[in-house]
Amino acid sequence: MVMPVIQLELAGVDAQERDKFDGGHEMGSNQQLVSPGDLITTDVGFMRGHGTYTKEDGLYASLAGVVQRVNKLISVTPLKTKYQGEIGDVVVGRITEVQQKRWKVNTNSRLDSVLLLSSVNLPGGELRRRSAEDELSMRKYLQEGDLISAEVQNVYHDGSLSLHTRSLKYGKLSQGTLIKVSPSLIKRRKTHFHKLPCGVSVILGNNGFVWVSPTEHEEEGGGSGGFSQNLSQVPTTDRTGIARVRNCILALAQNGVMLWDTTLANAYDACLKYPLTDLLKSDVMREIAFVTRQNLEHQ
Amino acid sequence: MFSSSTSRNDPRRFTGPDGAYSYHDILTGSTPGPTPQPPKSSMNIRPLFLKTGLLSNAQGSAYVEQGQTKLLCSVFGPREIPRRSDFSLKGVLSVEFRSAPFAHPRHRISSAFEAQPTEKELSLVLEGALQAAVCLHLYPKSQIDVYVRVLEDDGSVLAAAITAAGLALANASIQMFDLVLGASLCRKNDLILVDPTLNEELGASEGCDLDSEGHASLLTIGYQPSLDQLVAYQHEGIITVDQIDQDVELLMKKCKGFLPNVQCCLLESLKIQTKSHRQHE
Repeated sequence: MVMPVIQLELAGVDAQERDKFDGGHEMGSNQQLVSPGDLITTDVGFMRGHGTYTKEDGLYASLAGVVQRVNKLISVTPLKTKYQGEIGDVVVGRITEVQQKRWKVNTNSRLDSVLLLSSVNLPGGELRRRSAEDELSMRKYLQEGDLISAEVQNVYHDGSLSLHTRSLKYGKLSQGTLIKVSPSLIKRRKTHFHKLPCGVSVILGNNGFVWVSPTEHEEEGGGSGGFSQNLSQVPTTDRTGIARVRNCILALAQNGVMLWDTTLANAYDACLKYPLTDLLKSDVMREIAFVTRQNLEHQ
Repeated sequence: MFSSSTSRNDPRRFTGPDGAYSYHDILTGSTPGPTPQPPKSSMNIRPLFLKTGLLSNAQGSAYVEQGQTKLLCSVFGPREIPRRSDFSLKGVLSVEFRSAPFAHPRHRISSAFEAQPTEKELSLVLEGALQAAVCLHLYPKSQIDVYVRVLEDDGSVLAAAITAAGLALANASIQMFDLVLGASLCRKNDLILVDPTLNEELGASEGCDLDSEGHASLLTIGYQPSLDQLVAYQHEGIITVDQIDQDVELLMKKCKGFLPNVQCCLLESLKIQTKSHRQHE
């Protein structure tokens, strides 16, 4: 028996367009998925963007991802990315090494970032001179494994970052939870420090590291250049709040919802009707993300 | 065959409580070889199962099943080289190929601490293959770690490892010139077995000596399909020049044959993600 062959054409992709993009795997309108080594186009009029390389006969993909075209520039956006820093970004990072006059910080980027001794606020005022003793006692301020929040001061030509903590809002982090999400899910906003109404503070690092901690009271913070750690016991109500926010962030991240204060607040409201232990079930997570998305559209 | 005494005397191995005896003692006599397979056609690659992104800790990972051969590959990085001694503008690949202790029923149990010579050799071949494929010039001062763990060895491990490593690197969004695919072939005079099982490989290695009747050889290649380049070539045994040409040609054709499956596996996860992103937008 011979099966009839049915040819299906996708609406919206005209024949010319398809001839131009003859490589990859067509999907929907203007969505082209490629894997490494796929030919993107043989047209020579295009510019080579990120995730592509040229050979004599055309432009090829070097990443698995979605082809994006901005005018003449073709680039491939992959699914996972390392953090590409920009000046002014708020980041959360972990100290990996103490060196001469600098700390090395893991910020989820390709190379470790540096935090210079000269770009931190040492206890004892802004204008203090840094002496040899400070250099020797660097490990007293920050040691390997400590978490900090900081701002990107400079981007070096090899892509590594220089950080600074010259403000009282930055510095060592004490008690809380770290959540790692994809850096592309953090929306760039004016502020990345949020105090949620439920008694929980959130730092949405641009590098995809999110820090959830109990809200500090004004009089306790500051005074020591951001190196003090508040290690007093956290009440159970605060801890459940932190756990809830953490699970909300996980739910949003897993379902591809961008993270900023509005989505967090929406997700927190949506999760209140579930007991805390149910928040890690995948259907509940999907539901929370769905409700959040809907609320966004209505606002 | 392993000798159970050596593995029992390994000082680094926990010997167990008094009165306990090695499970090899029960196994000897009737060593269960790889489960007998129905005779397969000699020109086809065994059924392939591919999956990416199983490990949440790794930047990228891939699981490959090729017949009964099962292995897992994970990729970490690019990340800063710890305690770097010399400056290099190119990225560094570190490849580790290890067999699980239970992977190979016939071999000496591989130590959990020390790599066997064969494992070291396969690591080197795999590293060579990946070095040609990854755009290392785009990762200055960085290191990319590739770990391959063989869970079950039923022949053609290197070929499966090459495919898995290529998939895992692509899954980790590391820039590559092309995917890398591996394929292997076992030849005994004029009998050709593509993608040999462990039994077939062992049969071939017996015929590898000059004085045995009939020549046998084992060939594994790593291939970049769209660049049409060979990135790995490992051969043991005796073969004529014409046969090499034929065999490499055949393996390249086989690689091209399962390229769509590999691409499909890669793009499947991508489709799900882009769909949810678009819903959001």
